Amino acid sequence: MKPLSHKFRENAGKALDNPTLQTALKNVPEGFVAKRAKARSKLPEFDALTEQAQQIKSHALAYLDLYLEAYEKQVKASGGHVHWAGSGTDACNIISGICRDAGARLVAKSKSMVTEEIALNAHLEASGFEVIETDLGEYLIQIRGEVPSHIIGPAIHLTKEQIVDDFRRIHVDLPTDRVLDEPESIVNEARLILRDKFLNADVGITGANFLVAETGAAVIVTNEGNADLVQTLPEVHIVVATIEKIVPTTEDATTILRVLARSATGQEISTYTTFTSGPRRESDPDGPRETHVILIDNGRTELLASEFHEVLRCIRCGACMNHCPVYQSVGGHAYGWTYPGPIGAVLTPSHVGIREGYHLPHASSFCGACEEVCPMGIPLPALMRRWRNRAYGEGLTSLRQRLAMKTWLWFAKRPRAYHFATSIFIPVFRMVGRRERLARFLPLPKGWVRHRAFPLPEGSTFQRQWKRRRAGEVQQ
Amino acid sequence: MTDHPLSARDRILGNVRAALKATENDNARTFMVQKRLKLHKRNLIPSRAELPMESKVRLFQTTLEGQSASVAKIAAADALPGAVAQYLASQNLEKTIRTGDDPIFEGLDWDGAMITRSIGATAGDDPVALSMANYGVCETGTLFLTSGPRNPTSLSFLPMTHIIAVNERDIVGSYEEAWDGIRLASDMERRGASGLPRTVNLISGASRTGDIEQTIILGAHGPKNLHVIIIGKA
Repeated sequence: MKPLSHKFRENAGKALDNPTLQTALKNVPEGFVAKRAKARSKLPEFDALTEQAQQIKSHALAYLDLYLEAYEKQVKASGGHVHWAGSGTDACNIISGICRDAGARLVAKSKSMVTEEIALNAHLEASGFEVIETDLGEYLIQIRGEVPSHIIGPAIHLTKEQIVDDFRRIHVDLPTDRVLDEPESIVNEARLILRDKFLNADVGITGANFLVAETGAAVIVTNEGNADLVQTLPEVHIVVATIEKIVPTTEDATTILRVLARSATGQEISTYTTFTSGPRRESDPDGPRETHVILIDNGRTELLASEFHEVLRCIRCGACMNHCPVYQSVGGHAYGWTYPGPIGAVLTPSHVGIREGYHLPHASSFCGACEEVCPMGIPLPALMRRWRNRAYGEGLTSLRQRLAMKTWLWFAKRPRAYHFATSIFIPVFRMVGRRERLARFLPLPKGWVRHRAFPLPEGSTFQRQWKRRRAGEVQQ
Repeated sequence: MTDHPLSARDRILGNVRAALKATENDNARTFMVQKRLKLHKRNLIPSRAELPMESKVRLFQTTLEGQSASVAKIAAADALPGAVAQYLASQNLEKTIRTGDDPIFEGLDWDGAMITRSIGATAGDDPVALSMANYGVCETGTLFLTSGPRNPTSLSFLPMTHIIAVNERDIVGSYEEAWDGIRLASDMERRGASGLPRTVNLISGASRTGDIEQTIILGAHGPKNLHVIIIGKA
């Protein structure tokens, strides 16, 4: 997708001024955050499990080449095809090729962030296929022509009223006087519309939460069951996954599953977890006759070689964005690319460049909530700081900011000059501040001082007060 | 894809090795990976999975009930048709079910319970399906089902109502115990190189979505009703 991350400041401002969005975003702390806390407290071993989950992913990444080869071998042994794609474009071309060979018309998809990343839907539609998203949230944003605003709740930015309006606008074949005011009636209508698509789809496309090297299985987790219909009913099933989804064994996948749903939705386990490998066996009464796995790099090997490699442990649970005060305030669309929130602030610059993604690693107060809740122990604030350093190194920081930082640095390295300067500034601030609001006088960013006044200085610097107190103590 | 002399596969694997500063034929690395895959050792298992049998069954039942499923217990398999009929009546559903060809269903008196039973996969026009689970896992109230003629996968997802029967002796503590059992059965049936049936479904409740303002609604695409029947030892 075309990145809009350079417009972060502008779009964040619009998001804050959008009352509908603000209403919808209230559901994030009330829902995901509270539910995760409860799930964690119910499992005494939760923290120990996250540590093991991290070790598993770190190990898998350290031997990634060998696990990829083992995985490929097992998929082939169970009758599936494996394709390798260096870039998103390569992956799109391979997938449309498979659809064409299958003589497909209708392609049903279950939620997959990598297919958003490589803009697969646009490519398939341009190639003449009808593409239907079957996860309810994805379906909602598809009919609105939007992109996901959250990696596990793609339509979290929408209110019920907006959804009802869209359904009335799109589902014109249904009676106009139908009752559609409760979530239940909305879900029933979606079930009715999409059921038909499941049954008629020629190709099913899913992502993967994990790829298991031991067995060649792709693991897919949903609550709706849509991924299972997508990978059971059509004649052809395509798994689209990036290479870092590999885990060594079934036991390893199982361990990570124990922390995935708890971190994401706060469930003990998602309703449906499916391990699947290859096409239907000879005696199987259902299942696809042909299966493909697309292993995509699209920047992962570069990340692996970089100082950002730890981000490859990410299992896309969404906990970092759920707990992020910035995400909670502006939602996902302001981030301007596939992955929002703290994980997006680290991933986006690596995909679209730090020039385009400049604002994202800067849109953080470094409160550290993301790192605290990340089940994979990804040091997100530290990685954002590395992007800030790079941006500074590449001269992307504004002249004003650079001058301010350089000035501060000069003083910070020279204690005498620092003390001298503050001893002059503080009385001056006090004098000016008494007469008018200090806010107007301070050289702070306008956004900061617009909403609050800077408190008046106490009259003396900390250092000076400290010295005085020490002297007093000594005298006593 | 392009006229590059290397395939995409070789390029990606080459880039991975370069990033890891690894070489292609490093015996120590290969040995490490093969050992891990072969041993597939268990990691930490939550203590709630280690319970005496009776407590396991109770935890399995209460956890499932907390995940919007209903649970019934019967003494032995021959009570299954009656239990199914009773559940269908309680839900005001017609007494017609679709099942796989699991032998456990064969000798049962379905006619006596006034149930019409048909066998095979479903194309979406069966309102009620009955499946037999390989295992029930108490740690999260999860049923393990494997694909095959005994258990067509479509039965677990297309019908509005799904009934799953599980033997009490197959209720285990952890996922790992279920995996061991499935591996063993697969070896005996010589399921091919991957050692597993095509699909292993872990089902832990009725189909649900939270996509509308995080309100949980059941029956998103899969079954709206999940009813589990535990078959006792007798």
